[in-house]
Amino acid sequence: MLHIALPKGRLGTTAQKLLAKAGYPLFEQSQQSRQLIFEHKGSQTRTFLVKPSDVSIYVERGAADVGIVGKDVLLEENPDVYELLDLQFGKCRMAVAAREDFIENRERAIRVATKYPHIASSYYQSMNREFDIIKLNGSIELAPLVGLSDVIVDIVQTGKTLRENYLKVIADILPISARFIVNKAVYQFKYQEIHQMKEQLEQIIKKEEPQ
Amino acid sequence: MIGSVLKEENLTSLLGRLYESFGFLIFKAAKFEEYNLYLNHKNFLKSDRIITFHSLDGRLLALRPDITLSIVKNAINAPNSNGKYYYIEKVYRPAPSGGDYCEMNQMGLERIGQLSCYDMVEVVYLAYKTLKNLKRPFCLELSHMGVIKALLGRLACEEKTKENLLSCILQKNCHDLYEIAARAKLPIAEINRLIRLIQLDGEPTAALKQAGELVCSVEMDDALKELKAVCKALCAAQENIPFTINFSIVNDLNYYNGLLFQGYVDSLPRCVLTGGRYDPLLEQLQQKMGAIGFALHLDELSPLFQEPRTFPIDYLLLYRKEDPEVSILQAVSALSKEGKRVFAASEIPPALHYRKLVFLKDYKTELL
Repeated sequence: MLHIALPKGRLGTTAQKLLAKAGYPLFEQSQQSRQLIFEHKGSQTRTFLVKPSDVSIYVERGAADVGIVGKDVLLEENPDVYELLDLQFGKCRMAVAAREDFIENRERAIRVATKYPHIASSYYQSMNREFDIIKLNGSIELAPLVGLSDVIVDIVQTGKTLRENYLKVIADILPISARFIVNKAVYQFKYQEIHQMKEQLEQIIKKEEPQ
Repeated sequence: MIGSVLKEENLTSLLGRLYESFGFLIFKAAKFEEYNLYLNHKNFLKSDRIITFHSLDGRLLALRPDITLSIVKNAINAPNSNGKYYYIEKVYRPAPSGGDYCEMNQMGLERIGQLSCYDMVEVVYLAYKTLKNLKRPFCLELSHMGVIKALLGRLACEEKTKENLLSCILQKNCHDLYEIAARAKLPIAEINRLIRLIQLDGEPTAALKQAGELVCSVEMDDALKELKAVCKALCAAQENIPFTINFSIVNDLNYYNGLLFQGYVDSLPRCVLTGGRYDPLLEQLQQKMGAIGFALHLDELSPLFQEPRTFPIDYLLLYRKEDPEVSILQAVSALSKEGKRVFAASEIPPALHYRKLVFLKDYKTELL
């Protein structure tokens, strides 16, 4: 039996659909309940729905064999797992955004509000720029509006939230999408099952790729 | 039941005897080393965060984050030693799961000197025997740093790009590897070769044959020949050694140059044994010697050492205040002879979890 960690929310819903197309229907009953573990005897899977940022922890520590997680989480947490596939959905970008009237003052450290301190630090270190990270857990867009930070580092999908808050992207850091990850020890002991899942997912992705 | 699970002390003593039977001698390291030793070889360590302090005479010392460097230093200064060491020691590093520093238990061995192919086979064989003694299904993965190093050496790119490529290799992450290569304008034929190599894993004969088809330089050919020789010897041992080839095992380019291996145990989420050949460390210390070794990460094995018990106490022996102490003591001794845990009390302690309640009646125990 394969243990799968999936993120709750939109990314998880798309992941479930993809897995179902690949021959892994995960749920036998309605998902309306608050149940967090689902077992599907037909596909020999047990699925956990967890907070998106926790998926890689479940996989790295072996509570789940495989997982689907955003690249943003992998870059931030840097878990020791295999990243076997780019699933080509949940596409967005990690970017630096600031107020529309922002003019950078290079004479002092730039104040950066973010949920991703590791990604933000790596980016500013690579730019050799002095910085001050302000770790926030939500409503990041508010920080530059109230003077808490100069810029934010966050994921941007359509840019609508930024526009509504009079913010604009000033630099792209990297593209983000959902990834298929595997625990390194489990990879040894469930090699066939994992490879089969990887190949089936790969076929679906190729089929759905725009020509 | 006591004795039904793996005991750390039994395991380390068993492994100690195993290593000694192959001529390895125990190495007892001092707890502290000069900080300079680690400062000069930062990349050899898992982390450059080290606990430091000043000695009474003002020298900067460090709480040992690694054993290998101490053993190498000792081996260099003791040319008459046989170059075969094993150890059971603690190291002090940042916790792998985050948080603060932690103390980690390690057992391992190092072979330092003029190394032959047999020396490598012997060390890998002992790694296999080490895993076998854990009495759980396991797998030993083999790779050769020289193979990956030869391929990366053909790529004209910055060190930072090579680091990023190595990190993708470690994760078997082919999609990002393509992206990095495209950004750095690296030749697609070389990248395809690298990707085919890291996707080869599993059964040694097939993996090595396919790797042979990818050889593109003398260095890569030599590395592959060395790996094949070790694999051939392991197969010839006729012990059904469960090993596979996995070229995504890589380590620091400046310190590792040869065979690399790691071991996994079923039901444990992380690698429990890591090893490899690290001649460049000796070269940096101006020594014309080779070195290979491995470490068993005892902390990763802790789930195997835990007894699946639900009760910390087997018998709660309830006595009356007027019972003679000698009778209570005799009753406790008799019950504990069978390896049971006994707690004697005149009243039932409110927070005590016990399996069975026993009364002391007429100086004899009576099970309730």
